[in-house]
Amino acid sequence: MSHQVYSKLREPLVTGDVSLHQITEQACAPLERRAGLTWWMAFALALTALGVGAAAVTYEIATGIGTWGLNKTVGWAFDITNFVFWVGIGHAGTLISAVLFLLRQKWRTSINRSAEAMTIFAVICAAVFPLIHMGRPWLAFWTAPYPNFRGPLWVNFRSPLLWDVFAISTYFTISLVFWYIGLIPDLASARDRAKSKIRKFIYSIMSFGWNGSSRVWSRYETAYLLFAGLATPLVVSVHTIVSMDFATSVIPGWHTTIFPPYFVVGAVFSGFAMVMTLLIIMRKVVNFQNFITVNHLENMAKVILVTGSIVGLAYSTEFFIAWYSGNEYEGFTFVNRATGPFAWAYWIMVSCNVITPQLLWFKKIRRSVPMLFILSIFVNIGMWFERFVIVVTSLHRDYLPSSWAYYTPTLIEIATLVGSFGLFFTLFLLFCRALPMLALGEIKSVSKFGRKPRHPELDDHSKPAAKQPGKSTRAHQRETAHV
Amino acid sequence: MSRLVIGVFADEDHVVDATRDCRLAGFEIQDVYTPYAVHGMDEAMGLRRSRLTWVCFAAGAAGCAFALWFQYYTQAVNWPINVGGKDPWQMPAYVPIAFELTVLIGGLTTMLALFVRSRLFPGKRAKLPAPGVTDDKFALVLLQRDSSFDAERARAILAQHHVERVLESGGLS
Amino acid sequence: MNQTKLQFRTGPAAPKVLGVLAAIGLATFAAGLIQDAPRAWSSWLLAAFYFVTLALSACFFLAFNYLAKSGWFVALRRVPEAMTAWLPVAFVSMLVLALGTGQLYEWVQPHGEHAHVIAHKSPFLNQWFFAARIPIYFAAWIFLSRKLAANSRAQDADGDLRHTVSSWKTSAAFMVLFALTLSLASFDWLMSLDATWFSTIFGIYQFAGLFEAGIATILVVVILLRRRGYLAEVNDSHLHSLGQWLIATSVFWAYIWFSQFMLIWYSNIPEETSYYLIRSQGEWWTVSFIVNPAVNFVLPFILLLPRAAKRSPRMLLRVSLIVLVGHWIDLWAGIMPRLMPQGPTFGYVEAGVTLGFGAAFALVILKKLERAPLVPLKDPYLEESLHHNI
Repeated sequence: MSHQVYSKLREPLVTGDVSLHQITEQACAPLERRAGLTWWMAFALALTALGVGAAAVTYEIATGIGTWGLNKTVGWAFDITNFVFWVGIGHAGTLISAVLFLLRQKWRTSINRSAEAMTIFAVICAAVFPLIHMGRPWLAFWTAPYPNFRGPLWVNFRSPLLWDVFAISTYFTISLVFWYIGLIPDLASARDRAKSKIRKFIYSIMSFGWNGSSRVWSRYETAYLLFAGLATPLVVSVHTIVSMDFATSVIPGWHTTIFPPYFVVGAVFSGFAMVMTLLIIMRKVVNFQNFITVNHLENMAKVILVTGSIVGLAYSTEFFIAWYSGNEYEGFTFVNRATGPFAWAYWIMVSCNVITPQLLWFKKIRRSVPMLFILSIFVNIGMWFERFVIVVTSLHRDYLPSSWAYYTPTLIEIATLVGSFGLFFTLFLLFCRALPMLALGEIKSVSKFGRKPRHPELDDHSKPAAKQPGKSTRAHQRETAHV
Repeated sequence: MSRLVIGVFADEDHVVDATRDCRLAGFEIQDVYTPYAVHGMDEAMGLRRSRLTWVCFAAGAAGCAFALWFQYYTQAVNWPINVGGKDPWQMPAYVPIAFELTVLIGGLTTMLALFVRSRLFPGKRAKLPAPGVTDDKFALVLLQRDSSFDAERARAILAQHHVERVLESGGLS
Repeated sequence: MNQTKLQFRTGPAAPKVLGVLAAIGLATFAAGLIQDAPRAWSSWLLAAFYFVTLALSACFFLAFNYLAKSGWFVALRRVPEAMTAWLPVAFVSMLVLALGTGQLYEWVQPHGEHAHVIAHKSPFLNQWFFAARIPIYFAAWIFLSRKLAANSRAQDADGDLRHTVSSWKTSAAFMVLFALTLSLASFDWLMSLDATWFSTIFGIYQFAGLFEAGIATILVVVILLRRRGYLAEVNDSHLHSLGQWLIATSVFWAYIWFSQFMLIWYSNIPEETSYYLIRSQGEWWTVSFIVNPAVNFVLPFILLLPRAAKRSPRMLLRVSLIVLVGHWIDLWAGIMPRLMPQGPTFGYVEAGVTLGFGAAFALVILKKLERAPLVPLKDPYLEESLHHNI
């Protein structure tokens, strides 16, 4: 069986009836034209933000962690919030590239490349925060278990913070490999159509002599499947381990067994929101509406709805068990979250993560690009606040009322957060200029999906979609489009 | 002196059928060059399943074993430290890093194995059988070793499957 | 498609044998009640919950695949549909359980040094509210699972797309209610057995076991039907996909199992560790920390890793049976240790009651399978499923 059979209900993943050549053409277009004014403006803005962050971090390293708003009760706050936030953003990329691949969700092909790029950039942003939290980042190599003359005194392998070092670096490496392997065939496409010598030279080196041999494709597909199989548990393990930074403690609000799956789902939720925000801009700016269709956005909206609801369920479970446990400290922590001095943050979190995403139950909203854009921004905000609420509200009222405290971030901390966004967008904008933003090969392989054969006279194969007497596939799609 | 007969197609279904028919007719298939991984091509070419899976499994298992041994050695043998009143050797705390190293070593080895086995390396010069195989063309390349090669028959099979054009060449450059 | 094999027929002997076995199960339960009531009730809970999870898992599988718009599962969809027919019987079994709360749950009459902690929970944990929640859970499950099965049957007749659309919506509703009710039901029925103990992940833990065992049951039924010459439409790729699900769910189970244990072990808070302390006594340790992860995770994972194994009905059947035993052991190690803290003893009551329930479950599935063609003939995705090829 070589020919794929699709149900008549399947809608095309690539619209506009483009040929294979046009796919290459359109997807490579942003690389081959000069950057427009919009790109330069966005790049300047991102660089400025990055500069602000770099200045803040330089000042912080020169002066010390005292430049932050931490106090002896709240010893973890903004920095860790940002770390968890950025790691979470990264998760959607792997989810789209690996999990949806294993689930054979073909719509992933249009969005996986840019989502994977996002993963890598988000992990870079995340890694910055523990590094600067060390206070003396030049000693970061102390987290590596290398033989030394201090005994040797090894790192503590039982510390979740060390697990983080291994999890984040493994995640970064494997994501990078996965992403690059996916890029090779597309770099070959870019190479073979490059006009300028320099461009051809660079893409030649980067594409590893790829020539589309099916013998290689066969191994490549196996390797890709293996990477997906490895990356899936890996992505789960990463946020699990991040959650264990908190959950292995004995602090009410931090220690609860639901944290691993709840953090993972929350990460996917926030990551998908970020992918949605970026793709909505990208498809407009570089004209990818044929590839990133409203159907793609709707599917992502569904994932956001599901994960948002699971996050809501986790919130309620935590609240319920806090009461059910009969532990007064546990109970106080949760009541304090909702009614204490940080109640504003808590209610921002609940509104943005649990309430507004419920609007996605409505098909109209799921298919309205402006609404999706607004909602995805809400989720980004809500998920940042979720981490803030978990980190800060669990700490700020200690067991002794004499050590109760409030936490306010300083300008340095806020500038660092701005800088991390600057770093993220700088990298992303450079990616848009340098590498194919769409997985060309994969999109081509699904370009027939749900589509009427383009040359019916040439097509002598039985295609159930085409065999519907009296009704074309398109007519069927129109019929089913409203369901 | 072996020569190559190259059939260039514009549709994945046609090239898959042509490949299968050529193979069944006894022609030696040098390779099929396609812009993307075509579903069913392995079966049409009669390729064996890749053994990368086992490389990955073995490397992952080795990574896991190494991580467990290393943690055991450093935490329980070389310099035991009392953390949280628990014994220096307690499995649960060592699972996360054992898992991470399983994935890391399994993944990197798979990548290397793929590159070595497929002879892909940075800067390698690409040998294309026909222009467009990284864009929208599918090239089926038949190997002609000696005079027993029935060129007429090959062309007939290719034509039957809507070949766009047929090229002949002494080798890929 | 082979029309003659579309209609399933059980042999004449099977219903009789299964009926007798079910009666034996009931008799064992009655005998157990006289001899050792708490143990008999625990066995009832174990068996009743075990088969609720299988039926619910089938419904979850349907809903999940409808929502993902998957095509491949259509050819074997009648199997999970038949499994959901158990839910009404399961409802009765759980109502019976409500009669035994006094023998099962410490919170009915709190005593001992933690009585005040347990009394604190009485607004939630009291016999009346406990019994009242059962019909609420089952109302949702039965109504929605019947709706899915009815849509599927109706489409056989008219091929109308509306039924598929209706199933999509029903599935969405099911997912929401399932998430809520399964968490609460697992707190009610299982977690409250250790009345002072609590774990927020517990609902997800039960879900993981449920999902894994449900896939195993679907595999067993599909493979047995294929052996009798039915379901020829289900090819090796379908088995492969189910095998992939089995391996994935076993990994997921291990992940959740480990997360709960690791966090409680690491933090070492007395009110949480009590649960694992009792499960570390004597041979319970072997059951909880060696046998349980071995049968639910290690064996299925290793055995199904090769591609050939996922396409071999023999291997899949074996692994599925291991998983089904594993799910029972998982629940057994969750329910029984309070009654026999010194170590596990295996009695005729657990075996008899589970056997009886199993026979009744099989009977219901067989009867349900007879009521409809084994393949949903006019499903819009059927063609895709028949050509499923991976």
